[in-house]
Amino acid sequence: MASSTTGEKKILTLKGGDNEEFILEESLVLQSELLKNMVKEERVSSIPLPSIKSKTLVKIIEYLKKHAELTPSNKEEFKNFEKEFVNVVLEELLDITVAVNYLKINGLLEFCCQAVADRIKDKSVEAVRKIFRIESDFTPEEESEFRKETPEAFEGDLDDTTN
Amino acid sequence: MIVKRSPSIQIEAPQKSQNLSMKLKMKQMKKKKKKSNPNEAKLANSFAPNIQNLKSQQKKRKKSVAMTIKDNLFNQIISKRQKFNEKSVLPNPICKGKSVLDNNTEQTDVDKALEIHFEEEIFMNILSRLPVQSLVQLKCVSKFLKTLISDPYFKMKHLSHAKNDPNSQKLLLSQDSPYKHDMYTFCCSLSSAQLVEDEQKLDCPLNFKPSGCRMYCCCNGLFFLGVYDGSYEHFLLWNPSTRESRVLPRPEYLNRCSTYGIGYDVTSDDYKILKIDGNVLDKSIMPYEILELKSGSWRNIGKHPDGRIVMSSLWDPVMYPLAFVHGAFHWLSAYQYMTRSSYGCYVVSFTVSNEVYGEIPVLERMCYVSNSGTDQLGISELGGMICFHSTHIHQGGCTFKLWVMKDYGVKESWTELLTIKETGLSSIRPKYMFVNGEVLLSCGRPLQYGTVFRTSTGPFGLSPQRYDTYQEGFAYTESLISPKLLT
Repeated sequence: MASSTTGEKKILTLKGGDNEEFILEESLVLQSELLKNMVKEERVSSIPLPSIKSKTLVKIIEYLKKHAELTPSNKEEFKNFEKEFVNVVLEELLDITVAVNYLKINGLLEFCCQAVADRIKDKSVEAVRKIFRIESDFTPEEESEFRKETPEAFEGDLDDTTN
Repeated sequence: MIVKRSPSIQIEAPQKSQNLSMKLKMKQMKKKKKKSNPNEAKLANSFAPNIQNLKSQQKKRKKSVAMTIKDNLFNQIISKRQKFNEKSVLPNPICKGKSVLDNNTEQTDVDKALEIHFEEEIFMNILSRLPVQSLVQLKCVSKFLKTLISDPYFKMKHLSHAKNDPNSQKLLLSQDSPYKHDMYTFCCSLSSAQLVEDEQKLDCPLNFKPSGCRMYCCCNGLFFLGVYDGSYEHFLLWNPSTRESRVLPRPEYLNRCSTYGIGYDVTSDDYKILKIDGNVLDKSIMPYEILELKSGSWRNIGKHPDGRIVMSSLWDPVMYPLAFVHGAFHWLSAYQYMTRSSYGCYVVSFTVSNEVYGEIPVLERMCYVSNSGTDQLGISELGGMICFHSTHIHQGGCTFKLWVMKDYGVKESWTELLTIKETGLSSIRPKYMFVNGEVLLSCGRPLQYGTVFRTSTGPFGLSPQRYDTYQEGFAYTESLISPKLLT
């Protein structure tokens, strides 16, 4: 990648939310628009990412590595990896999606958003409220109107948990 | 647990985060020699990501406003937000979404900020990938989601995803009874060439019981329909996915050869419906008319400058809808009518935004017709391309040929896509191209009522609903585009 033209690989430290440090090649993080700009403009060697849980960061780094190894010959393998990558509990997937959005890893963001969409498309209104931690701000009258007009919205998949 | 929320949090949060993130940067520069107040660090930690996001959101917001400058609703949202930020007196923030999970008090502000961010940017991205039916239901989740899903910018974003999603491709069918005054419409999925599911009845949008209906054209999930109340025809714009509809005025000039096309004009962010009239006699051709949905009335645009006879199909009295491709309406025109030896035709184009006529040539061998007078020629839209089709009736059956223009406007790019030889069929029209390249065809049967469907390779598993035959069918992309909000 671009940064390793000198032959010497630059090393960068990412610091997760619980102060855990991750040391990796700078070329890997260039896939993130946010980190790329930080590295290029400010020439930092350590980047704190306090809002991202270490667990989430581990997953994302795993993806960055796999993606960097992507060649036309292992496309199938990468696709399988992507499928497995989003095969986590919904809460974790949401954490990853928020972090990926913040880091601006565009390809992965599209993939994560699609994965979340696929998971919630059959959920009931109540389930979606719980998943995204939203409280209804409709008046009880409006609420009962909805229940009358679109009863199916409240009858869908009630499972607000992971799968 | 009860969470105390300061009413001014919305103003303070961005400033706070800005200050804190500056502090954070300074800390980085000093390589963290100084240990900061743990509380502050915690806040900084949690806010740091949001400042960037807020900035980018603002940028995006500006961009999207520029893109949909006339989208009043979207502007409303922004001005609401601005108002809120200025005054901070609204009882409920627009993105209300109190955390119902357990969290400690000092983190509430943080969660709040995260949620705001989450709701705005990622919700937009995630929700724009959901089917229309889910989104109609999710409007009941909260006011914020309702506003988001109703936003014209969101609807366009959703449409661009839906166009690439095989599951959002549907076929709207109408059936009516030749014996009773009754009509019936329903849709089925096109996500697979063989399997048909999701059949569902759609309500007719008018408050009388229609005796029949004609689907004229569709674009981005909006259908232009004629619905009969006895013998009177009402014109409607209908989104069958959201079941919203709007009554449109009648064109001033109508004849039995009137045909229509609907297209989206990017420059005016509006939909336009074009009506043209073909007739066998030159002098009886009616003026063409166009309706801009924002103005809501028909405007006379005269006749095609050459005055050449327009035909959607030469001998088929039912006119084909105009093909909307590449920002222009298209139909077929003949150099000369019915002079057997030197017969030729070309495609007329009419751009939707500046309303300019053009010509697109076809290859000579494409418009070969026999002397029998029973052959049919037509053009339509297929997979975003103009396609040209001919049905040649001969002894022992018919030969159907389909051509597509792979590069718009380039004569040499006409490519023969398929040839089908069949018996017992007539008036074959292409309706949809599946991902695997197969084509859905609607076919008439000689001396019989109605239409049957098949694919280019075999039968299409569509079981008749209320009546034995289909009147008409249109492939479309399910969308949230509202026929009402276009005024």
